[in-house]
Amino acid sequence: MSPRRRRIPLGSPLHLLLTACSFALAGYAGVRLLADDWFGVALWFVGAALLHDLVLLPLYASADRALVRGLRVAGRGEWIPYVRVPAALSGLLLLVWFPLISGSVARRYRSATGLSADGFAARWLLITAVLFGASALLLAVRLRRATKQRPPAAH
Amino acid sequence: MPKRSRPPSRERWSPPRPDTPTVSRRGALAFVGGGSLLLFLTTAGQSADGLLRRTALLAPRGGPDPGTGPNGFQINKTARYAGIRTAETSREAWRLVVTGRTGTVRLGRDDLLRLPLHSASLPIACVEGWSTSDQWWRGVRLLDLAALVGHDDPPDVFVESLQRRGAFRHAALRANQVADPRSLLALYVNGEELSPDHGHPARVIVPAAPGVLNTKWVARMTFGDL
Repeated sequence: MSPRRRRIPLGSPLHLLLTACSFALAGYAGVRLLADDWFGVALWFVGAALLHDLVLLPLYASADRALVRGLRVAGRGEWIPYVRVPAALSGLLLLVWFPLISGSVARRYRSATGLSADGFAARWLLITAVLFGASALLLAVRLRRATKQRPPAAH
Repeated sequence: MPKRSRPPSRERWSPPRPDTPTVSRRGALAFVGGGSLLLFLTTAGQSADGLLRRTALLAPRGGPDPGTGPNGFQINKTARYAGIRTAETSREAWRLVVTGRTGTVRLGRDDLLRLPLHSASLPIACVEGWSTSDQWWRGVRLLDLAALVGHDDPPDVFVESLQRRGAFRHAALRANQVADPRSLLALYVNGEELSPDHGHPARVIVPAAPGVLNTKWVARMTFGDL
């Protein structure tokens, strides 16, 4: 039995050149990034990956699964994007502004800016409500249009 | 001799029982773009004033101003955060130490007020991603301070603050920044003395420089090539 020759998947010379350049750039960036507090940087990179894979991914993946299954079972498959998108956008805002929304940096914020750290959670909830409201409105418009375009019942 | 047959790579790497798709490729890209747009819309207001600043709903500098009146614009690092004590900024205690070619000069607030005062309308643009609009600063030109210590041709300057910790308690300014007639050691803003949170008794204000170079609570300035 002759073993099939393993072909190394190389691209065209231009492709190779671009890949080599991108490795060089990434290497330079890596060296500069790790120059000062390499441990802190590594901690953030590895910690973020671990936190995402072990905590965030199971949370949002299972929530999304439950949503999709639930809506499909209830026969409302076309509602899926109208619930997903506002939920995901709201989750994005929560992720980006988590320290202020959760109030964990309230004292430091007040000390640095002279402003009060109250109200961030309330404003995030308000934005979430507006996102879901707008999505519900779009869904209602779409359903109404679909109802209007329904072919008349055959007699 | 039978050849081992492998299925084509497309079949080897695709899932055996794929779920029904819930979002198209276009939809996924549109979502990413929409998320980016949402973040932009809820952050961009940080660089505006008035009602537009309020649209930055979740950004750190999006809310109301920290005070009213001439000193009421956005603060970065209050006096308390920087550990500035009123004892060291009082009229009797505070002295600006200016060093240059001809030696060292110690100036109190009254000495500074005897020097010619100039005005400049300059904003504060912070590296954190927010800005204030133009404020009306009044103080001594950096040019004149350089001349006081024997530098008629403005050199670089190393500015040090009363702030004890933090990476930006000192800043280096280049000769062209010192030479600009709008670069001031500000003593007044918008017609009023600087408040403690804005750098009382004196702060540097330089055009077209990030906010971290506009050192507050200035204590020492060393002119010379850096």
